[in-house]
Amino acid sequence: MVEGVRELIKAHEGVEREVYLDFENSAPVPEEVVREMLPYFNVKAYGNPTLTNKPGWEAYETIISSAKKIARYVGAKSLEEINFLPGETEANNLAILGTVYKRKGQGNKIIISEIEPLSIIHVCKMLEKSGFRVEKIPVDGEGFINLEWLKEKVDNNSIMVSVSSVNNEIGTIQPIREALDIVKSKKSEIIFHTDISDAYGRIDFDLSRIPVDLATISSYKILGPRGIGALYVREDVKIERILEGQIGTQKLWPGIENTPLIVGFSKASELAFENFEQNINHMRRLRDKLIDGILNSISGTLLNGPSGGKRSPDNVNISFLKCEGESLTIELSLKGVYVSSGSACTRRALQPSHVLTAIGRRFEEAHGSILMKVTRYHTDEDVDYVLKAIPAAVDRLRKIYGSMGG
Amino acid sequence: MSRSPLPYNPKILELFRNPKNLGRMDDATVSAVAGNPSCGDMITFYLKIDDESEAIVKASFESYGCAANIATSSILTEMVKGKKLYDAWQTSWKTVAKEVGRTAYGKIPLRYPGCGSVEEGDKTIL
Repeated sequence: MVEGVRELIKAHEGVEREVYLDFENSAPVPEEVVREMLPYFNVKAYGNPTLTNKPGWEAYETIISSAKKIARYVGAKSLEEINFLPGETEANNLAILGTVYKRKGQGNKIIISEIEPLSIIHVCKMLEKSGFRVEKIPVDGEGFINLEWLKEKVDNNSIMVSVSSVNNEIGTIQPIREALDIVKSKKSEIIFHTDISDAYGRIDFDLSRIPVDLATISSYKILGPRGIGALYVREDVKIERILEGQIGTQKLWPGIENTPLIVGFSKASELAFENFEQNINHMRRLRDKLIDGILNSISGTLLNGPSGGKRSPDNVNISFLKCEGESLTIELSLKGVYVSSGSACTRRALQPSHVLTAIGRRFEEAHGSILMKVTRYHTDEDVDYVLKAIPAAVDRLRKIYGSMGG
Repeated sequence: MSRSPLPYNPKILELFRNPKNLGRMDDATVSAVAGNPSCGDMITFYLKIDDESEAIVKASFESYGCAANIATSSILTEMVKGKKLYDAWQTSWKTVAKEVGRTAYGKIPLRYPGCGSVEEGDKTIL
């Protein structure tokens, strides 16, 4: 099997250019972030931050400084509100389960949107089996949550609401402030969680202005290393641990903190925020160049999600009719353009993206979708190359589709 | 084993890049569509059949599907070419899967639509 994979990789030899756009699923870590992390593996601060020796104290100091930096970027009041853990999946699980454990007996309704990431949807599905009622806020054709529905459904029996600030697949920037106000005006004890993994560093979002209770942040989504993320837990909010073990410097997630990854996460945040306006303007320009370039040059295409200011500056998601998405990812990969798809074939469940079907895309529209994200590192030359590769790839696959017997 | 198998092997990739017997056949004796766009898997097969010998002299396909779908369609057209209708009808998805080598979990879901398509075509004639 491994031999086979090596041959697949070898098939890419000699590509003219490589443009990685699959930032939804993984990301190359910028050189400056790697450089910042390296000494923490074996030169300094490699100790256990809870122990009484110099490398341990160095680790402690490093972790606290990093938490402080991230707290500032995210708009937290205190570094104590930043809980490091391995990533978005773990943070979302902790947010949901930690709240449910704490609020036992105070209600059994959990409200999420129907386009939440699977780390929210699946954990809620699990809770449904143990008697919780999960209600999903419907979304419109661009992925915006229905606030009227929320107003109607949130009640005294609700223990928590979870809505991502920016949808990870179609880039919809949700009216989180309004949703929060609706929930809190109904009952202030209801916990409001938002996954800000796709908002952090990409939209103007500040927890001091939008005082949610819990927020998930992912490192790799802002070009930090994988394997690290954080759950923001507002100072006065109490949730339970969901894992047990040796407690390090923080109470909500056991185990010894991974200092080099935390340093990388903090450096990546710094780079995303130090030229924030310039970065997002660059991304937005390349995003629109990609979207317009594709929609104008290829027929039978649909933009998934909103456009302009209501869309995350990095997100491009387009459906190509008569073109199956997984085939398209392979065809593009062979040209050096690396993307992902909402097609059923790319998922173990053999069902197309739940986000795309929720916004009303028919199955065959969802199967033909391609998701790309641009970063501050992409250039016009990258986008020009992609705009050359995609029409050729779509054209070949549409030839295979042919007349489909018609 | 808890690890998911990798979805592709080099044989599938090769046939995805250079499928055999691709395209509409205008002089086909019979054509059939199988699969469903909702599953992202749809195939049209065209067969040219010799009246006297009842043998398939030409087979071609069009596909809407993943790379495995395209590759297995290509293989199936090769497999049925030259066969008598009744023998072609016996081609099962298992035979096709074996021919293409190890395929991914779920890549040939339950029943490969291509076989259904050939079967439909054969039935129409028989």
